[in-house]
Amino acid sequence: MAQAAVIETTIDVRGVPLVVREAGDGKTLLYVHDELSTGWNPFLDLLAERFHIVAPEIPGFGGTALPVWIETIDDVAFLLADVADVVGGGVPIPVIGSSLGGWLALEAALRAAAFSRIAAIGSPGAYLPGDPPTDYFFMTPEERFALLFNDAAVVPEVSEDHSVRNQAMTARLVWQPRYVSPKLEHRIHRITEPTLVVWGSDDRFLSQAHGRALVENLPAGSITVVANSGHFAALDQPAETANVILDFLS
Amino acid sequence: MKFTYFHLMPWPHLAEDFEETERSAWVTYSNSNFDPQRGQELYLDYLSELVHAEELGYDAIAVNEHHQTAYGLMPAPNIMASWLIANTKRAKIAILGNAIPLRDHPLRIAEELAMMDVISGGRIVCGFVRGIGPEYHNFTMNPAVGLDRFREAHDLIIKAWSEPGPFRWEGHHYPLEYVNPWPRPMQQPHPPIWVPSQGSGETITWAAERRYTFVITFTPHRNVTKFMQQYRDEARQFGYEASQDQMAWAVPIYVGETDESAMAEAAPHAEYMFNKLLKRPWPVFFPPGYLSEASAKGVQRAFSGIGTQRVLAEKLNEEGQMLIGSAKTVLERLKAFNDEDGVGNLVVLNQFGSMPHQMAVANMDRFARDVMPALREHKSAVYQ
Repeated sequence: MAQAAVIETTIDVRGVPLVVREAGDGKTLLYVHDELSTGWNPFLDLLAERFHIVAPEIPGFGGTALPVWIETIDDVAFLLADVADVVGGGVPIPVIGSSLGGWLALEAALRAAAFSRIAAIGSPGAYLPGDPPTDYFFMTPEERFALLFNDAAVVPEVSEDHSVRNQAMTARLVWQPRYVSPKLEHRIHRITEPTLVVWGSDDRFLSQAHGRALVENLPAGSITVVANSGHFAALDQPAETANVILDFLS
Repeated sequence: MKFTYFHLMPWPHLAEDFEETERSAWVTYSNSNFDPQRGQELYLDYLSELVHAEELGYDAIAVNEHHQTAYGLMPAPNIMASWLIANTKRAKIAILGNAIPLRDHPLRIAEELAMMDVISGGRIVCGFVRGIGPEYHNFTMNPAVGLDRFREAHDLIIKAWSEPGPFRWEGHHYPLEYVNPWPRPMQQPHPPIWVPSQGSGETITWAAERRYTFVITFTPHRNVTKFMQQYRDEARQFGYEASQDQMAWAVPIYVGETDESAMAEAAPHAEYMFNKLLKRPWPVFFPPGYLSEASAKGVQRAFSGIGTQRVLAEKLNEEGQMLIGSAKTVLERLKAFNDEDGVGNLVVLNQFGSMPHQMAVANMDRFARDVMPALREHKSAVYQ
């Protein structure tokens, strides 16, 4: 696998500066990161062989400042729609999001016709009483990684500075209500673009039923399960997950 | 030196093997272990100890707020405070404190405290706290928003007490069309404000700016000295000299006949408090966003990989995190400590951990008889 030459820049989205990483040639593809916000990863290297990947940081994560008005999933979803406009020059572009990023991509798609295709990996957001996401906030880092990953070797390195910010911003967005958009099932039908939900076969954080619940109300939605994968399929099984998504995008 | 008697009202019946079998006494330790019959006995014993403290000459008696834990049985401190108002005459009643962001509405706090201040004839000391990490798990309250809620709730309560209503509050968390609470507090413009803390720099600055009494809780004494110096330095930045009254230190104390007998008697209860009641995997105590970025990094480093670190009473005593010894030893150490820290309010816990009622009362009596009078007259070298 070739490692892509990643360029880090800052873009301005209606007055909000965002750190952005990009690599690859071809059609532009927006990537919305997960809770770990690892900057770049081997999964993106694979996609960058076919696409021009643009991966912005959500404000509050990594090295991107948090404006006071960004407090909720709703705020970030609107911002992401604006990001897509800036990155795509007003033309809808495909988007991939992982976990929190997948949820945000779906929420942004509900608010604007910003995307041509949507792939959401392990996206939370569905409301399933009796089948909640596992409360990893209550766990030590060791317990948390054992919950989230099948392969401890793929747990990414994140600097202490960024890790503290990433965890705090994740909490800000998902703590309460916990990882859920209670009204999503009544709204998600408005996403008419082709949408692929990808799920790790061994997701111990969020049951596959959450993925199926999303797809149930999507007019052009389907779900694919990646074998031998924990919650973060793009990190646990980068090659297989990239294949599934490249198939969907072609 | 002034004296406040403080109770945590711990559950003393945790199993012998609690440390091996349970994750923590907080959040998830099943309430099926709470026995209401034993609970009633405990409440009445503990409350009588607080009333006894008034008889022993304490300036104030104090309660606090914690939720869903065997560590302390006071989720509603204002209920305890109003019981104490009815059963005491002179002592100040200190609530250390109300966890204001955890309540749905801070106006309720403004109202309840004003009621108690009026009924007690102006005896309320008002502590404000943010609520500790486990409580953000209990209430699924967003830890990343807690500090912001705390600050706005505080500003609203102080304004509601200090300025004539009705007024409009253009708040972010608590927008209100009409702020006009009846009654107003007896103490004008409001009861003294105390700020209990583990010593975060942001809190020290915030308290010093407002001239609030800063209360440092359960920490090795070298930190007490450090934080109080920090407070005095901050006060100077705000253009004034901090008085001794603005500094308080909360510390469990056991006075025995001799140093050896005191240690033998107190050690099981001290170790019960620090190893059973305070057993804590750090994510439970410091949920993400609860601490500032700078503090969070320190905590992650300090706690990383550690579930529990057992501590022994000897060590706690040696570091001045609690004081155990003969009256002479305890008095001498407290004087020496006071010459370093300059604290003007000693917040004393004579019951801690699993210590039974009779033993706690005997400890209270020895401390009040053999330590308190001489210490009351002591002048800290910091303020000479």
